[in-house]
Amino acid sequence: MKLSIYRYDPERDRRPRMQDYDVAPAPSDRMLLDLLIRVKALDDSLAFRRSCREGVCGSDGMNINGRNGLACITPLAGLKEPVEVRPLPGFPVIRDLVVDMTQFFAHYHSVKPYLVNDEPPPERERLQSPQERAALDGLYECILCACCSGFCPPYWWNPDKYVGPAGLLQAYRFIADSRDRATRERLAFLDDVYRLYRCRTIMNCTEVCPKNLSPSRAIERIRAKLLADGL
Amino acid sequence: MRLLSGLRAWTVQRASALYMLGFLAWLAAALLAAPPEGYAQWRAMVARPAASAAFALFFAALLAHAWVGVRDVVLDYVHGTVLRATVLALAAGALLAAGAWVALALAALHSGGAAA
Repeated sequence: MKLSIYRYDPERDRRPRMQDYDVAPAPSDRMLLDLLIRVKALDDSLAFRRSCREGVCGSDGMNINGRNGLACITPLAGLKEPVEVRPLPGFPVIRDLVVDMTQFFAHYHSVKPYLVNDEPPPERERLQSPQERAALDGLYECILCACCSGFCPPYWWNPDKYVGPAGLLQAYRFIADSRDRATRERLAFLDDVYRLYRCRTIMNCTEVCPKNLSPSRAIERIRAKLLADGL
Repeated sequence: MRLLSGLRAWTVQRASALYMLGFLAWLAAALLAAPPEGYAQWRAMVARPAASAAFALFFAALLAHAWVGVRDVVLDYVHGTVLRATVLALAAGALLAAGAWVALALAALHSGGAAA
């Protein structure tokens, strides 16, 4: 199977280049990550991240034939050859397919991705009704692979100021949580021309999310909450 | 910048779009129902107080809508403080000038003078 992989080592290369590989997949190889591991056995200078290799850890987000996705859950069958593999667009490259996620996680931390509740804790736990719990479905499953933010033009344009789809999905996950008491502060933080309102509703985020989540819907709900709060 | 930040800009953009849509539908209907014959009738039509107010509001909505839109484009595509400030200042100047022109034209209409 033919692959064309982005190669860049800032310490040695003046500019990035695409390197072609032709690797025969073993019968047990089903996903693109299996093939990348085979490439690495041939050429150990190739760098990429992977950990759980089953779509849970979110380490191997990359651009595959022009679309962001997780290599570990992208089936080899159906991939157009040569398979063009690039790092997540818009992220600074550390080496080959490994990108610098510092800013991405800074945005994630900026939305306070944890419950804020200063009320005295009950003896056992803060209970939720089944409906309140169901409000978190489609939000809590995010694995922070950055496929969405790496496919979001406004995030490419203002990566330092726009929180991006992943961060905003997480922000809404805590706004929607019945146990959280900081909704007002969270909304006030997001009511900003950059942090939230750079979203141009392009919806690439929802299009590429490997977990089938919808950051664009979460962003819409934050806007609706802000509007309801402002009236 | 803070005057039209975040939610407020977003709301202004949508509310102005709705108003302009309604106004243009009304204007088209009014023109189809009774097409003005000549300049004098045009003037008479716009000079009615309700119509003048609707026109003034339309241009206010248009300018506010244009400002939010242009600023969004600039924030997305124009980087660098000096360049961005220059482009925004030029856009704001052009929109303010257009607004002043509309205000003068409407004022002239009501004072009986020649419209600009």
